[in-house]
Amino acid sequence: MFKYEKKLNYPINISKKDLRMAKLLLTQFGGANGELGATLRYFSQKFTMPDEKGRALLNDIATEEFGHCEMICTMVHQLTKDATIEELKEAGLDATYADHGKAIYPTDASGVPFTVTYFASTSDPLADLMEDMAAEQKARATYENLIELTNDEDIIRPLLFLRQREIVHYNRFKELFEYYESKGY
Amino acid sequence: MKFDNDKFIFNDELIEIENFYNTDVSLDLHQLNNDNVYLNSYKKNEPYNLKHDSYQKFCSTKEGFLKGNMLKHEFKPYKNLTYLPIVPKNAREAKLLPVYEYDHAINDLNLYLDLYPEDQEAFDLFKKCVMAFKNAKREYESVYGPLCVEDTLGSSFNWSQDPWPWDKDGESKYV
Repeated sequence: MFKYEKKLNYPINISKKDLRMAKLLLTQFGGANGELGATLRYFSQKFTMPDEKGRALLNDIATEEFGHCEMICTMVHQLTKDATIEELKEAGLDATYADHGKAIYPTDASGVPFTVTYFASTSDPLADLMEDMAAEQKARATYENLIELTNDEDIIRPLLFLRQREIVHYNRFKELFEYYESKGY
Repeated sequence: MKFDNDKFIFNDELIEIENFYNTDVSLDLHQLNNDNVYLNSYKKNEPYNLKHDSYQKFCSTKEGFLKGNMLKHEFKPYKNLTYLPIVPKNAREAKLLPVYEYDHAINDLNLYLDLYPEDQEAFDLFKKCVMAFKNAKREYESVYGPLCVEDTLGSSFNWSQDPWPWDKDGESKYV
């Protein structure tokens, strides 16, 4: 089951409005390489893992990724909550505002809504884990792209943290993949 | 993209930051081993255990939280960027920061132990982090209210009270 702890994984406190960046950050929530896809991917795959190492690892990483979703949404929310209509129009967020106001909605950086076809769940352990390793690399690359697109320290700190988490997840998945391969799964 | 020199600390100043913090639940600090020591431990299905005098396997919880990983060899800085110390700006942040740090250590060691449950060193550190986390959590909650709903044991149901973690706490920042 899932419980909630009333804190984020890493503190986020953004003081400067940046609507352009908010639109871009949203991709790590509802985009192809984002945390929502990661959460659902690992959550779906965990049921058909062949042994307890896979079940435990996928369960625990899925739980952490859901917390990362919350972090991304927090950043987008803090960046947009005090925006005026003029500022939204200037940042190209007027179309988003028409559909969603200032609400958080899972889309990518271009507004394309999240789709479940961003991930696969095959019950083949090697296929699933290779997919997971690719997902973590894509997420890391996307975080690096986002870091390149801003100079705001308040935004870069959590992004660097999240990027390092993706590297750690990749290492765990890679180790489990090699282990399953040696077991002949 | 440009970064001012005074905004980010570069890699050769990392050693200074490690000596600045008092390590709490970790092993003794040693000089970082400069060799590339990433072992293919997964091929032998063994936990990562380099027994080397000048190498330290785990970060301190403070450093591990700033970097994002507890296993020292896993840290991969992005270009010339690296972590800055987190400095609490008020009493609430000061009480909450250890909770963040120990919670992160527990989570990272949890993922490692899922694959290497027989690694006693990691498990001992995990247990120490759990005890430290429970203490820090209790200390924070005694002043500022529950972090989990089942800790709502005071005189009022303050679980639902603001602030929630995604609210911008206007007058305080860690950075």
